Amino acid sequence: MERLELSKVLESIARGKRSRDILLKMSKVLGRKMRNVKKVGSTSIFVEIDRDTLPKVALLVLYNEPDVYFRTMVASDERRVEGVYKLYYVFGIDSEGTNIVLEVALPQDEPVAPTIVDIVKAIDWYEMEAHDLMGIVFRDRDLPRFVLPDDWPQDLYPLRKDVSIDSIRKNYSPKAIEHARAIEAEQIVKIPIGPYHPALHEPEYFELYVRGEKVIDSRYVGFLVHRGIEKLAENMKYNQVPFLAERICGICGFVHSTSYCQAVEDALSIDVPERAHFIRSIVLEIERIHSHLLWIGVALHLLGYDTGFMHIWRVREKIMIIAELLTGSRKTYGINIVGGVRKDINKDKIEKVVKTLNEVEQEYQHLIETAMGVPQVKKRLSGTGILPRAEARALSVVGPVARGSGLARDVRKDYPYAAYHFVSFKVPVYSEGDNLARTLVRVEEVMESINIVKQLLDTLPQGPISVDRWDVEPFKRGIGAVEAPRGEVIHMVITGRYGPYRWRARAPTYQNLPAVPIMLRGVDLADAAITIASIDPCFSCTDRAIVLDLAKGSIRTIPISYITQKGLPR
Amino acid sequence: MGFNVAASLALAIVYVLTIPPILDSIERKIRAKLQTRYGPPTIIQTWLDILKLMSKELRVPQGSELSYALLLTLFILGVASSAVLSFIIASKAADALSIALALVFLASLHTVSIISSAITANPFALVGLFRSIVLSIINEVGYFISIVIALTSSALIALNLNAKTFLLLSIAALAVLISTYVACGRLPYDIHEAEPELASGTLIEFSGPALALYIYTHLVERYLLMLLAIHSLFYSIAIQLPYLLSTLLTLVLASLLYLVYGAIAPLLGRTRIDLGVKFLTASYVTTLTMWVILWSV
Repeated sequence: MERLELSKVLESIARGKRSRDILLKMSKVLGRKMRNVKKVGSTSIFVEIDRDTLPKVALLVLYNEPDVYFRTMVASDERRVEGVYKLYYVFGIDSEGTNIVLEVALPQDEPVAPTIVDIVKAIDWYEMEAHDLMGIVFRDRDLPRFVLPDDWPQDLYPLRKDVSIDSIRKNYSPKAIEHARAIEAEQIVKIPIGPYHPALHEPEYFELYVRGEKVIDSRYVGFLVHRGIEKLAENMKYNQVPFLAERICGICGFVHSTSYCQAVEDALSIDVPERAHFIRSIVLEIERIHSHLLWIGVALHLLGYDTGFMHIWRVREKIMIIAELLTGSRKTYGINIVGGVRKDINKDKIEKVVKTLNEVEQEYQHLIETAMGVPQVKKRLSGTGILPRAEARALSVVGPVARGSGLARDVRKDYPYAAYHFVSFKVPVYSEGDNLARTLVRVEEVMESINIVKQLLDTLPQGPISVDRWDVEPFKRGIGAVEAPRGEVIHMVITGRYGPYRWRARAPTYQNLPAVPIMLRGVDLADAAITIASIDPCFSCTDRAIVLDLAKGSIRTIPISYITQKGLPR
Repeated sequence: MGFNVAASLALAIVYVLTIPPILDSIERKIRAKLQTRYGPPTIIQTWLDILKLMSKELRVPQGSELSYALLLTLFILGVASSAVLSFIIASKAADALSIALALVFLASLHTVSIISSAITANPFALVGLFRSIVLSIINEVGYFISIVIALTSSALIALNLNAKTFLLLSIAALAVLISTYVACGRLPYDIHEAEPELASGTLIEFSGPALALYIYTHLVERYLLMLLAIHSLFYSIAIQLPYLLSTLLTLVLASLLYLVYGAIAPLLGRTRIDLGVKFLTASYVTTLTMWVILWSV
């Protein structure tokens, strides 16, 4: 009888057949330990479970389902609210567009949870990050320093609510001078300009173990520049955060501000005007086009075909002009606010955009045919940097990386948002898993995006572009996800009184980077650069040079822009 | 040595030592045009770049001291090779000793260039070096043999112009043009420096005056490779012309070939060492076999 009632309750909560089946399966596995199942926002179902049942649920219920992927995990300090730490494991049922969020409470005097890394391979980095930033311990696994530097003080967990930004400043300053002395920097180099790799101009470090020209293995060291953006946002008002979110990425920042706004709107059930949804989608697609064109150009440069690189970037410039026309800026548009957008599109702009897109379409097709006809380009992309489908599935990779390995994943189709239900488009999928497959996915997506923008401009509805007002209700949870050029961006927000209580942003590179060592195994050294680039990695773009004066023991910071213009100061 | 030969020699030496950086500027301008860029503002830009680099401070990275010493040897060898090649062009020499001397000088130039990169502690330079060695082993054999068969074909044409000798020269020309192109180190065969992969590879440790010296010698070496290729292919015409005219014709044709190569390079991507080796082996085996079969029938 009790069982029958539970089934009825679960059926009423489920968003479709798949979520109903999965919830019922969970109830069979968990029995009474499955507590407080509730719908949250438009796409999510939150399920409270005991921490000890987590591996069982992850293994028996979620991981074995072919259409369920791990999307993100959020650690949150809710001691002031409920006296516990919480972990939110977001699993997505792609075929239905539903999130199953496992909510696990951890007592504040014992913030310990079982690891599920053996079951969900993709969770490895999330657990290490939660340990670094929130002090959550995961049993039966190593938890080395991950995001924070090695000399970070023990027991200082920056995302805990009792740790203020001032106390972080007081308790930690980088030991750059000591480190420079330890490695005898005077004997080696005078000025380290961040970690350096010739292929990508961002702070990253790959160590390739090479026999002859073959890469046998590789090691990635990341998080060399961690900006603490999530912590910064906790001191900001709701509508200040979109501008911060947009600065997460220098290429595709709009996806982050959109994702953040969607998460707040989801949490607070804000009904965004249709016209604002259309404008967001148009700008998102413009961003995808210029990002993909940028990547194709860089890829051709890495393959030595600089003529293709120059021409593709020339065409990209037209898209940048469209972006400026529509938003007022080439990049970092700043038009997203919670509840809509700040800038409208008029008829004159629509005509100009369509005319330019028609030109771009023609030129682009011609250029791609030429570039793909260059023998070295095709030969070096084919059969290199392979990511098998099974590995892609295990790591829950996203975006063109997933679609290049045969996984038809696209947030625009799987979890439709903004105005994507109103347009028709194809999601290119290739099963080869090599660099060529990932390239072709992006190549085709440019054409699809041009088509989407045209459809949206053609059917742009009338009406307001933002809501007049909206009310805050604290401790509501919301999830916002966007298909960025590099793959799924997912943000989760727990609302506070004046701004987000907890904001978690997960960029696609975070999900895709663990796949790179797999792709690199067995490739030629010459193809390592294009293989790394094939995930279109996007690290934080905040590289700085520091001048260490070992005699005086002083550190001076110099923006990289200064160096590129004037050389290193003496 | 007659006055005409001496004048031709002077012309050739001055041309060989001064024009390559100008050809490089023109090549950069052509490349820029193909890539819808403006390119260098003047055709003496490479000279200006070299002079500017010469004015920079000389910094020798730790572990690279010997390679800097070898650069001077490379420069001297470059000038000496220019003199030898100029003499061969000016005097229309095609005897075995002269050609062997030219090939030895060019091979030495290449070898010292390779060794100068070998004596660094930089792994990028070393990877580039090994690529350079592998490619050179195949290509220099191809280059030497193709120059010899081209000269032989030209000599046969001078004696008796018919379909067979013309075909022999055409096959030899194909081998000469491929091997000369590869020896120049242009795309797709610039894998020893491959900027995106190796951060300039063999060049990574050179800066300032040392880099200027390397660039200058490299440009002269490139031009000398063209010069010998043109000499071997147009020998039958050159011997019918006055010394000064034949020298001028050879120098100009070599310059044109330099620019044609310069226009081809931007249309291609960079190869991989395994792909490069396969292509070159197949090309040389095919062309040389065809030449030998045709010659023997």
